[in-house]
Amino acid sequence: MIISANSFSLDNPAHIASDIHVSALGFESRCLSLISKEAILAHEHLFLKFPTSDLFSYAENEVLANSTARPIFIDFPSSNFLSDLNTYLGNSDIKTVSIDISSMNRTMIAAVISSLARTTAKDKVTIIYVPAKYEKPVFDFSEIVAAGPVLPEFSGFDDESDLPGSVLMGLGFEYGVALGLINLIEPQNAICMYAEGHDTRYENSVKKANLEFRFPGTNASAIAYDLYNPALTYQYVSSTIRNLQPKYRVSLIPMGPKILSCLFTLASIDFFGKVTLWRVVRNPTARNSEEDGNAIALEIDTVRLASKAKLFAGLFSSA
Amino acid sequence: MTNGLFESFNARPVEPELVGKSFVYNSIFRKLTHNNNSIVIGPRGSGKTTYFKMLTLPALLSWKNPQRNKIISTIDYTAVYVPTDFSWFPDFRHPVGLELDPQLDNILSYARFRNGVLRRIISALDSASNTHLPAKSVMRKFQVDISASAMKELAESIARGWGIEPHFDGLGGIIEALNQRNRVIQRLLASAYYDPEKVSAKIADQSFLQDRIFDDLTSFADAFERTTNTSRQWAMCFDEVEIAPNSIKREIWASLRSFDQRFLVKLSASPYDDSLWSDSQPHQAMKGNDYEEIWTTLERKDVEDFSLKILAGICSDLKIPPQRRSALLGSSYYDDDFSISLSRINAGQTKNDRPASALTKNKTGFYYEKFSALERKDASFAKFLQRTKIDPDNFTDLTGNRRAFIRKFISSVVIRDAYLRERGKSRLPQLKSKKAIDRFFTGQKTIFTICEGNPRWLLVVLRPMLEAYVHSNVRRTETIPRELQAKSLEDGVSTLLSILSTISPDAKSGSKGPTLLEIIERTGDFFFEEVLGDTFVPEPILSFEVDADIDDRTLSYIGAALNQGAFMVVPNSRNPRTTEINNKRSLVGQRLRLSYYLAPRYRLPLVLGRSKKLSTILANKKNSSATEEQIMLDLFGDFE
Repeated sequence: MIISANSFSLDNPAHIASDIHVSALGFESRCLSLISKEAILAHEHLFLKFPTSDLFSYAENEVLANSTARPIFIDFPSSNFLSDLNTYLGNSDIKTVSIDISSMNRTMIAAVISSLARTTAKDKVTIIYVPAKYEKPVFDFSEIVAAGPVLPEFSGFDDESDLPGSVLMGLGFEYGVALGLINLIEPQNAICMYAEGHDTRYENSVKKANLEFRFPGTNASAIAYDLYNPALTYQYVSSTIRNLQPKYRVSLIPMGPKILSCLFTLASIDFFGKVTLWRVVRNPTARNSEEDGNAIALEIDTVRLASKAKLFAGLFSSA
Repeated sequence: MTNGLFESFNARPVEPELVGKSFVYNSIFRKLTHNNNSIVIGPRGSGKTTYFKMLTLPALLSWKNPQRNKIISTIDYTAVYVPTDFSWFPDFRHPVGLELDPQLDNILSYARFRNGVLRRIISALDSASNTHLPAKSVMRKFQVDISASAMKELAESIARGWGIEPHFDGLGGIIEALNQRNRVIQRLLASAYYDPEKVSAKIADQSFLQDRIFDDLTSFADAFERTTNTSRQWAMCFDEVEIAPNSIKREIWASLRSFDQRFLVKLSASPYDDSLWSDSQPHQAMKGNDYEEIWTTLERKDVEDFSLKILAGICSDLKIPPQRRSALLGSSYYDDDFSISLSRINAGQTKNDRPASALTKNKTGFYYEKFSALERKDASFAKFLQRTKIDPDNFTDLTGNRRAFIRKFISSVVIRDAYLRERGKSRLPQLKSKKAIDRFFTGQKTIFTICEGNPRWLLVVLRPMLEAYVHSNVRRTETIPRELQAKSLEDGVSTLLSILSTISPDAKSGSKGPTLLEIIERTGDFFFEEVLGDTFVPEPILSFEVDADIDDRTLSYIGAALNQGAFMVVPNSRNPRTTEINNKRSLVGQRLRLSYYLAPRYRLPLVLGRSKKLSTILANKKNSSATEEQIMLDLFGDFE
């Protein structure tokens, strides 16, 4: 699903050209850093707009968004969010798309990628992620408010419900959440993935928040992935799902860096209907995320992506 | 594919054959085997799934126990094990933030549930017809002994009754058709969010989506009787009913009132389930009349025996020879004779102490040592001894009543002596962090008591400890080092608290108030003050009564804590444990205590103690200072 991946410095950015650039509009200061650093050359800008807020950089981001070429805004959440997204991304005149997932939430990431898979084929799709600068975690409980499939098409509707569950999960530095989820779902086994290669302070925080990766009382194991090598990580995710599938119902639970959410979403498209892509809702304390000066870009295999369109059509015609 | 019970912390993925091979028999299972409807109630990890799987034919076949034949001979039914699929749970099935028409949702989720049950019936029938048992076997009665043509006829008859059209003969054809149906239902569920009208129209065309499971069961029993000319009783064993959608849950509970005499219903559930309350009252099955209620909590006298068997099972897995097992964990302060010396434990001496000292041994006995030591360092205790005319120098001539009186508070004396520093200095020298668990709580009897016979807790604490021991350089003749035992307990407690920190209250119960972990922390801290506060309290408050002043949000948290085993119901004659704890308000009036599993964190004796109103405990200013940040720092440590 991934043709190539590379990273670049925002001080000397690659110039990514597209017909439409999709990004979130929220309060994080890294939210539009690709635009402010002039890394994006797009004819149109589609902003997935979080509710107006006076937090952190929201106001500046809004000003910047309004100054871009032909800005379009879709409110999130809203009842027409998914249909509007399909309308804009399904436009057959749009051949190239760039997507900044850095400040999107997991529903947005899944919705954008799902929309691209089910609508008109594109010539080029580039996904960009700007890692956040490390900040010490906030010391609060991470109560799980809700957990479930991120969107209906990612609900694993074609899986074998008699098989035991297996979970592939991203780890963040939210205290105890991974263990809480494993306790909630009780899968037969869980593979917990944590990011390396970015900031050792972050890596240590993740380790501490997850009981040093011991997870007593569960059949869980932890494995590292290189944040800056998403192509390799995707290979791992993909081959792990392939190996697990004959024996297990596989659920993907993206936590931690958004790049893993993106990879999990791509894998859910690749194994359409056979795996469940989850979203976990908590009530975390709002915190700013500043860009750390680098970005990672992935070029997606659009032919493969487009080949999944008929599966979407099949799902919806089955109704 | 799956490991045995002693390797897996959860019986859910373990195949019934393996469950049978490593099953540890106890009185709870004995009750469950009775030929009646029953409800097994217990928190997470208390063995409900294991008990239910043990009723199945493959598990009973692989079970090795001297009592096996006697027990099996009393079972008059064929069990159908029905695990509850987590994807039936509404909160997990619905895409987050999207709403589905409730009627549509009910029809489709019920259809999934029904399909799942039907598959399990076929699976049980398949198992009974493919197992060949000698004529003299006590299990012979379970075998469905019919010819291939009769089986084909039976499968056709079942399929007709269930309204399915298999593409090939036999039970395999039914399974394939049910799988196909399941996919249709799952696809309809996924599509329903985007095009509910179209899905509604489709549902109207599919008659199987309207059928009820208990009609299917009757039709199955009819088909079986017609084809085999025999009558048989079946037990539908619904596991983990609490995670099923409400409409299904209520139907299962209602079935306990008996819907067809050829079926028994057995179900397992959490101690607290708020969703059952609203409309189950008029038709609610009655305990005693309609079903037997079985709690998974072992009687205290049975805890040690059960725990020893779990320990033996793990040891056997890890190739630790039987003769080594009895000394592995060593003596503990909680042994009845309190024979072990505090100084020896704290000095790291781990060999078994000789049980010698007793109350009657003047000036050399354990009681004398503890009472004298505490009297020296604790003025309040010295006053208490004076007031009650107890003289540690003169323990030899005590009457029976007097001994009984002293025994009431010996655990408070022991724990206070262990943690109070000499008078004049600050208290609690060892308490660098609550997380750090002291050697005081190590040793076989203490660890067994702490785990309360909960198999998952025993596995969480014992297995990593024994693995580390096996792979360490410790001489095999020695007891497992106390530090290792303490670390294992520490990990177990941290794990439970981590899980509790992620539990949210009912959405309807408000958003303001302490979190579950704060409630537990305040309660534990209150008890801590009772035991180790300024004044010696012979019988400290170590339990609480849920009173009418507790708000809904806190009640919802307490229910969740009961389901996780963090709080335990205290049974007594006035207020027995009961399935009536199925809504927030029925929690009011219940007496609960902190699980002994959490006792090491708050340095509490492993006794019940007196009780106080929970609202008073939570309002206590003295112990309400622990912030989320402090608790998190204590559990996980600082980050830099």
